[in-house]
Amino acid sequence: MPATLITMSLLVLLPMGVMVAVALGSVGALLLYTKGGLPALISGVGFTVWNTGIGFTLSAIPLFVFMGEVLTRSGIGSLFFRGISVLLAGLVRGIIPYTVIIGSSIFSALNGLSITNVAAFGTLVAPEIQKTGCDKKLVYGALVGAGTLGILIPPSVTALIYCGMTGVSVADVFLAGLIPGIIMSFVFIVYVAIRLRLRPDLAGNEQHFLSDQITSLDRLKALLKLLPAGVIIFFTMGSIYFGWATPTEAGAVGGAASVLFSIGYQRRVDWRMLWGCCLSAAKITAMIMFIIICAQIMSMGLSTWGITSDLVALLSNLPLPRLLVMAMFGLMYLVLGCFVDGTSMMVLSLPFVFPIIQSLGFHPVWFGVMMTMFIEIGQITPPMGLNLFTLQGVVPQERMEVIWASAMPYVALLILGVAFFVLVPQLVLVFVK
Amino acid sequence: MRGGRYRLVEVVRVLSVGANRVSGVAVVLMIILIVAEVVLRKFFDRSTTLCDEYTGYFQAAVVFLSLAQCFKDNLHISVDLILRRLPNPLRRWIEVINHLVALFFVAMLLWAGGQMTWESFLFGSTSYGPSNTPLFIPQLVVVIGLAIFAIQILCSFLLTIGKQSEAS
Repeated sequence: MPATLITMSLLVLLPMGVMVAVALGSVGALLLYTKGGLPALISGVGFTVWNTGIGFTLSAIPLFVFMGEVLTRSGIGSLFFRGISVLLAGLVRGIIPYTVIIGSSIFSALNGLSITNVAAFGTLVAPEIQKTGCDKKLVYGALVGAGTLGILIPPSVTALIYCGMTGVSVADVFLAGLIPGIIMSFVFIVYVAIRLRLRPDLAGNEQHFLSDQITSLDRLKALLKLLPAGVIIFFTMGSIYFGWATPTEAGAVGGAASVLFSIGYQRRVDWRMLWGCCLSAAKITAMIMFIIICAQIMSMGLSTWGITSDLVALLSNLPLPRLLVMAMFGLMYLVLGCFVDGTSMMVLSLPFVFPIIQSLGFHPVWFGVMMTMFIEIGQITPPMGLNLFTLQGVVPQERMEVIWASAMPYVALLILGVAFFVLVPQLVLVFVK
Repeated sequence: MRGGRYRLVEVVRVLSVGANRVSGVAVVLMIILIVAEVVLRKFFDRSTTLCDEYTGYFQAAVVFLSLAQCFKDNLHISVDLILRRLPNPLRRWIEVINHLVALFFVAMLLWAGGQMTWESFLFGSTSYGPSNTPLFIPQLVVVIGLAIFAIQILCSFLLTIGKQSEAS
């Protein structure tokens, strides 16, 4: 009973605006203290801080964040944007939203965060909307919606955190995200195509966008410029798939390759930019890891009191079909995602949810992908949607309500996607050995 | 009083920025070490033998030495949806409490980290890997990072209290 009360105190600490990590850690510390006194608290916390802090799996986080930072800050996003739009020119109407979706999908294979996608493409797209008169809601939706693919299509920092906390193989969860990522990207493209079929005027006047006649040579040049990105993707993901390297090693090699790519693209070594990427990667890693370490302290506190096992026993004994339990979790994440950011939502819930998922016989790799998709939805559901804030940072003159409204179709599509992969889990597990 | 406060803020700023820079260097070292390991293994069939172990130590340096700067830049995530909508005086009081909770928690982490490091030093614990690195050295980095983080929170706490008393 006291343990339950202590755990419930999260409901007071979080809305008070206490740092999520501190709230989780404090609850864990209180649980450890009330069970075993000061010695248990100090040794338990020391052990958790050190062992989580030096974990090899989670050390891939700074590497993939660094990789994404270098590619974004060196302006390679614009290479993608120009390249893909040249390839699409003359083939479809509504080049801007299509370019954003395809570009975000490919860029997702080069970085592990969603906001990187939104930031990389948002700045490029804003002036083009003005020029062409293309419907801004259509483009904003594509930006925030396809931006979420950053964490679904490998590499994915979200998958790393999930695996770091549960012990599931990173390589498996990375590879499992690939097919759902490609399918969702395709679904977004189909959605834009339907919208444009119904309302062709939404595409605006694209002659202002690509004023020159695009020749086959231009297309070939664009394709060649995109080639280095393809090589990096092949080597980072291929090396994981073929077992040549661990995800952490792939992250380091990908980081080094992205530095070379940026030097080739900018035709100079921009030391200031590269150093900025190191500092930023360190800070983002510290932020993420602090939450994970504190969640592990909470997890330890919960298991010392046997709260997790009680909860598992309780839910497993209820005469509920497992799909209904999954649907309940889905609903919980939908609501939680409106108010709590994705990483916090995952680390907060995994100590409770993961044992239940395992006891119900769901595949842990498959659930890693589902968890990622719940977080994707959370990233674009108002009021607390990370991608929505990022986009507003890029287009500060825009009203938040417009951005919220533009994201809604993508929320619906992602919910449908989750439902589909719950019913057809085999599709997620195609590449899992 | 104000001069003293300004000096404290400046000292803490230098500490946080400095620690963040060291952790930036740790990111670079991590990449170099792992790439070297992969190249040695693939092309020369050899190994640095300490890659996994030292990657972990660098990771710890990256994380703990950037905590303070992360706090300074307001990057640590909190759910401030309700807090932002509260009237000013009430919000400031809650912010004071939040700082106290954070300070108390990080001080506890510091204590736990300090004790672990002290015991490693006392018992001469070394790593399991072939390098036999004395564990207290990388653990000391964790302690230093947590100490700077605690000081950064303390500094922010004093500033919040200052604002609070000026407002009232």
